[in-house]
Amino acid sequence: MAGFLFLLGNSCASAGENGALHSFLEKIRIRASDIHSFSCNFSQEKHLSLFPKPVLFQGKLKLVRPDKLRWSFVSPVPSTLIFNGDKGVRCDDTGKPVYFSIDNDPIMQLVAKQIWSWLNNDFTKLGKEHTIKKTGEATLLISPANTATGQWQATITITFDQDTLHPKEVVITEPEGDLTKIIFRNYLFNAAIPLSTFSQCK
Amino acid sequence: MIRRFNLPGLFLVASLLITGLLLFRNIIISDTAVDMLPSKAVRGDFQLLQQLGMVDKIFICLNIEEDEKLTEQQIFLRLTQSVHQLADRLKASDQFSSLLYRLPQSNETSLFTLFHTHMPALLDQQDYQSLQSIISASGIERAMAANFVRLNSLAGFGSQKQVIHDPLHLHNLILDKLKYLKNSFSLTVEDGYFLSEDGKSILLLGVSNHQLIDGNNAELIQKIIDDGLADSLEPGVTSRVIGTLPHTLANRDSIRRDLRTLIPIATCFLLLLLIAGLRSLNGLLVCAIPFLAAPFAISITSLIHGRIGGLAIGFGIVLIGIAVDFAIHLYLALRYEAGPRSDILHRITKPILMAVLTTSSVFIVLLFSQIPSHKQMATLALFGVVTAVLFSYQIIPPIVTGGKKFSQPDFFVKLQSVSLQPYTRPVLLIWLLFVIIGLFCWSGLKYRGDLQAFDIKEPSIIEDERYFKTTWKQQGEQGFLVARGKNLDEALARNSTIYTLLRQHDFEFQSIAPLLPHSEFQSKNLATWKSFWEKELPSFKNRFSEQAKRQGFALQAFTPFFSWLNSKAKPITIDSYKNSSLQPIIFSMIKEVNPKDLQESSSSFLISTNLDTSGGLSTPLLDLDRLDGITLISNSKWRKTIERLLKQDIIRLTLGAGCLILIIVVFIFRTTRKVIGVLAPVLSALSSMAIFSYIDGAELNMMHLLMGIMIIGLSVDYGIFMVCSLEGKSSSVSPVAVSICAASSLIGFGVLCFAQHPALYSLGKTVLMGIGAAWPTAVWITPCILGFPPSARKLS
Repeated sequence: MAGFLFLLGNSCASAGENGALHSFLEKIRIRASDIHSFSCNFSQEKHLSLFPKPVLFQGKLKLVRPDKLRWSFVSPVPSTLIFNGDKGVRCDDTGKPVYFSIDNDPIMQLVAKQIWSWLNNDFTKLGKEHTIKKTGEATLLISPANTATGQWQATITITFDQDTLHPKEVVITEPEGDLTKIIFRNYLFNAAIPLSTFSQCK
Repeated sequence: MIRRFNLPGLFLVASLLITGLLLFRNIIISDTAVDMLPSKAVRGDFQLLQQLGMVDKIFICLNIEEDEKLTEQQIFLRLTQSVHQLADRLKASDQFSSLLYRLPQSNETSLFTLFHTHMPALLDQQDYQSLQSIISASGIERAMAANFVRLNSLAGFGSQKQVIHDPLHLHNLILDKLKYLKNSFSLTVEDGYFLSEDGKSILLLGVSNHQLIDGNNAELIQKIIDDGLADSLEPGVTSRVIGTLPHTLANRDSIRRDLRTLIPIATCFLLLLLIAGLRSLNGLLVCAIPFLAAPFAISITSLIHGRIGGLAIGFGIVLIGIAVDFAIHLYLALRYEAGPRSDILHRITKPILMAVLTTSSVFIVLLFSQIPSHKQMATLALFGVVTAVLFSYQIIPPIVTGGKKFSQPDFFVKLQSVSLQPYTRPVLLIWLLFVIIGLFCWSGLKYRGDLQAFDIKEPSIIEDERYFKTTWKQQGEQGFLVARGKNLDEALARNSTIYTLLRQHDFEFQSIAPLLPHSEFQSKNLATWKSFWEKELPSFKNRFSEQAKRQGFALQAFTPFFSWLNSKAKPITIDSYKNSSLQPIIFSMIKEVNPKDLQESSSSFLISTNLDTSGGLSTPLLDLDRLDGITLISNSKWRKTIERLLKQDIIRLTLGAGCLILIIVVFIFRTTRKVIGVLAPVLSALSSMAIFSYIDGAELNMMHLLMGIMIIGLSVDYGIFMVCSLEGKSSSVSPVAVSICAASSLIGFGVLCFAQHPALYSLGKTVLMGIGAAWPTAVWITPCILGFPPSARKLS
């Protein structure tokens, strides 16, 4: 807890905002601690400079705290990403697994860091490289802490469901203006999820 | 007592002994296998292998036990943690020049940047066929569909730049070339680790700083590995070590075990024999005197050759042991022979000098061997025997009896009274038949140059190697084509020649040539790239725009890609690979050799191409071997060359030794009977070796050559002493002396027939076969040939 508070002290923008942010972070953390596992559906909307029009994907998510996640796109092109501790598996539409270590794959390291922050309601892992602001009733804005990292790191806005206190919408804005919006719905909390979900593609 | 000694002689002995001991402190014992190989070419090949780090390579294979019920991920975790911890421990020892267990963690992006930057310099003529297909309408369509999926995945956050810069995945053309970095193992690279196909084994590859054919070095490295394994392995993880290391240790341990058992047995029997035969403790001292010559002989040999090997010292001292025979003859004659001391000395000196002459001539012949170690042994033995005889003459006469005479023991008389002369004709007929069969068998013998014949077949090593081959699917026999150049570019050019020819003939091989061509080749590639795009760019632009639009991409996003196609490309250098994930593999195949190692004025570069040569050496490989600066190294080539050279050596040296001995014996003994009588033990020894080798697999190896030379030397001495004795011109106790000498050789070497180690066994068997035939021939057949009655009977 002391470490958490220390990090918070470093990452929060000002003393005035500190109280509201701290109390909100504490609230969502306590809520998350009651939830051992959950599953939900999501939709992803990408606005990239490479695409003149937004691209929409649908998917399902399963999570067992603290470190097991299965992120599957269902349509239009199926694919799965699994995090299990510091290891991971990528599966394409044929179901062939590709194993990797999160610690040693910089891209996946970045992805895992962000995803665990949103989904575990634990923003301590973001450390000093980010600043966290509470921008609305239940919205957090995570930005790169300095201009150097800001040249390549995205800004993330997370809006929490006021009832469940779990992410409802995540918007990732990349430095060049590309934007990804993910909307989570149909949460099912503390349902039994087989462990094989986090080791096998199928 | 001191008054009995000849003081100038004693001074000479002391001077040589002290000089030998002083020089001995500074000698360099070099235990290199190079000294055991014939011809400069073969030694050069071996040195190349050493310089490339192939000889001192160690494979450590960590495996998860079969009964462990773990998920794939748990197995992966345990194996990777174990290999990490082990590598850290080995690294900390500073005894390894390289340790490879994981490719560096530079990510895909950095490899992409590397290949993207230097792609034009790496694409060769054949790649342009693939490039044409990629830039076709269908090729562009496939690539853009893949981009769409990737960009919309979670990993898509990091791949936008890659897609923008290389939407057609042209860098895959270079990634295809990575297949040439694949070695003969079947492994999967997961997270940079080398895993077996079933994911239950992980590999660590180390190269020792020390030569692992040396037992002490091997012991040191094994201890470091054992300590590392003890602290590093996760539960359920076991290890296997493959390479030169376990063989060196197994051979050393086997030899130690054999000697630990057999030396006490041999010593007991020898002591009993010498006490019974020489009848005095002084006799035991007499046997030790010749070995005082060893320090001087070793030091002189080291000075002449610049170094001396452990093997040469070991065998050289054994050869000095021939001088013990002379000491025994001298001792027995002085102890039992009747007459004035000066007369006895005069009579016994004649056959001793003849024997020294014939023995020395055999060693002089051995000096012409193609094997450096044999030359060292011959030098050592030559100086050793001559010095030992000198020492014997200065020390033995004063200490033998002090002038007191002894009567011959009963068994001396009995031994001398045994005669086959009543059956001369049948005995000679049988002996002749034996020699003819021997000659027949000689012609049927094969020469085995493979040094593996002396390798102990330790079941645990065989099992580990079988497991290793099964797990990593290592097929065939690895061969190397080594390109050498005064500078890196020259070596790279020769390496490219190898690559081009092997590719033309569809060989499977491992080479860095496609990823690091020489400068001239790169310039050509760059020019081809430029002219290709000058011609293709306008039409390609149209096709690309059409397909990109169809897949929903915005065309202006790909401006960086088109700028790159128009830009001036850079050549690639070895430094480009520094800190990349390919660095360990590429750098392991290039070695800069410093002038000291090459004994040349400047450094040079070696680049290896690895391939399977178990199918034999086909014409393209032999053609490459003939080219300047390219060397083919393979076991099959080696085996053939060594076999040919060894055969040459055996024939040349045996004929040389035989002719020289014949000339000396003819010159000294003049009559046919006497000459045949002297040479009969040699003929019997060689026939016996041939017959038993023929029965036992019909193979001759390096041990037969070495011990054969020694046996020829000993056998001819038996003949000389017997003929001189039978002529009544030397000592009457010579048959007894010959018997004691032969029996001591048979005990000393014969026990090695019970050794487990193949080299010791081969050595023991050779001596047993040779001396076992030479001794009875000298004592009983030679008298028949000469037609003289046995001297003992004459005396009685």
